[in-house]
Amino acid sequence: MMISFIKCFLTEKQAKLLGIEDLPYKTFHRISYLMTARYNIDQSASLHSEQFTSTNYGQIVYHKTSLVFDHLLGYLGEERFNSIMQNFYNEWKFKHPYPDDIRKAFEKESGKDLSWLFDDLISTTKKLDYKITGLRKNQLTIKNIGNIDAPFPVSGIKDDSIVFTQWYNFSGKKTVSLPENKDFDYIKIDPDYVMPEMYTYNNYIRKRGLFRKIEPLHFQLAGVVENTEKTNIYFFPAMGWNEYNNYMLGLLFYNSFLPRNKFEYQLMPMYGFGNHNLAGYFNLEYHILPYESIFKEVTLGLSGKRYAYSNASDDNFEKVKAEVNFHLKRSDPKSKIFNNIILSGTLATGIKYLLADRNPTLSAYFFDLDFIHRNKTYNPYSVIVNAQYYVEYLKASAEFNYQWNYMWKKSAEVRFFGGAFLNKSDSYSPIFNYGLSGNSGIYRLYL
Amino acid sequence: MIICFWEGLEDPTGTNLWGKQFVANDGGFTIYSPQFSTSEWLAAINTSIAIPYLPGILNFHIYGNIAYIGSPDDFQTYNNSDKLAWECGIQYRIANKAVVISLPLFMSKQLEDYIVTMFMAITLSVYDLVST
Repeated sequence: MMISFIKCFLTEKQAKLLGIEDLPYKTFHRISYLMTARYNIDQSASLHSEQFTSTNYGQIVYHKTSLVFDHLLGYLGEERFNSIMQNFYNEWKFKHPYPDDIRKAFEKESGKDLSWLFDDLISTTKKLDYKITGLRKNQLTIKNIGNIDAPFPVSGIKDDSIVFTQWYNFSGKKTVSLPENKDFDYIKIDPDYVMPEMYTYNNYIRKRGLFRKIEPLHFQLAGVVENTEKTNIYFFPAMGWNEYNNYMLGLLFYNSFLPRNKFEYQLMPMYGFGNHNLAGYFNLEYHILPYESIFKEVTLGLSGKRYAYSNASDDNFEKVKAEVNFHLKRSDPKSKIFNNIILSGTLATGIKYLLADRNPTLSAYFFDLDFIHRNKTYNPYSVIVNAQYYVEYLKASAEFNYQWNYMWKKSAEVRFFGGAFLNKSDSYSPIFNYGLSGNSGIYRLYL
Repeated sequence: MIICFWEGLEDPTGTNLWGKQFVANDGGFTIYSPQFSTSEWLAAINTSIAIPYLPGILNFHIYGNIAYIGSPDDFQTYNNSDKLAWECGIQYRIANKAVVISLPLFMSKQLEDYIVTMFMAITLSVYDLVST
């Protein structure tokens, strides 16, 4: 199975290079589903075909549904599942069954309530996620942090083989008792990936040791696809150049690429050969995906950078920015209209002191409020409104962009920009002026 | 396999050709100029049109920008009696608009004066390198 997945797309050597040669075949379906689910742009599987976006037509109709029935297969057991399917086939051969007929067949013959599957997993975009919060002796605490109360398996694993598996089903937080006489190295929720679960990094706990909930570390050059068995640390060589740091060499560390993780980081420490000092940047993002809300996603971000502003070794400026990005929900997932409200606060080296008496202290606070409206249709347009506050001023600007494609790949564009200072203090410094061509050099780096 | 980036590669008044890049925001002009900077208000219109019937790789655009600046600050020896600035020229775009190389052809008087001085400064410093 695994080989067939790899052979579809990659040679075994390429798969090894990407560090995904051990992933089971199902991973292909899982990743496809999560590619939209982790952006909260997935759609219910019970829609009419014309209501799907082209991406979701593949990710949901083909991949999520196969995962959902795999979940049912795991829950009922292969023998029972097969017997129900064969009865269903015998009853409906040469006739046309409707979605409710398969539900009736499964519920009647298994004697179980399958609303979690037919009502929640198939008919909504509710997400499934369980989290292990603690383990004391054989008392395991699990929290359902998803929107569905679906049955889920918990296994004890010793020397890479499953010792026991128990199925549970609850909402909220609950402590369950594990079998007393079984020895295990670690506990894992759903080790065979039978569920279409959002995140699996929180499914693991070791019996003893430090950092028990952290899966073994895995370093990978140019990591692309999530390895669900490990805590992934990917790295990539990085090189840069600017006037003052001159050539920079370093490494980029990151934890997530495909599909996107709930918490993402990129760290890029570098050494500048011009000023013989450290430079680089970092970016942390945490994605909150509410189920029914006016927001499709809320992203909490923290980023920072440090570069030189002169050739002297100690002349570095630093900047740390915290932001909250509200992605407004679109009325129709097929809509090409995107709205964002971004609140951000920046703490930076005080450029005034830096230029006047070369004193690079982190002392300047900026606050920004942005509203961005984008229409990405064939003739796209966007509106961007910004207000920025600093102790010396309050300024606001508005920008309108329109692109008219008058011919295939040939366009005419127009942009309107207006900016004004609403308030200025006596100590205002012209560094923050509106310019004819924007900022450049150190000023551009600065904000 | 290396990530290359040009973070902070800006020094438009310097002699390094690669340093002559900047993000065109605010007034959206393609000529870098410290003139016409304002702490009051600024309004600008930027237009461009692709030259039709050229193959995709020859992504040339004709552009024109105009800006009106409310009380521009004085810059060095230039007096800022002009409040209106304009420029037009031709530009080549790579990867949609990821990289834009602009060649301004016509512009308002004050910008032209500044550009001539700047280019003379560059020529002079190159001459210095050669002579030493």
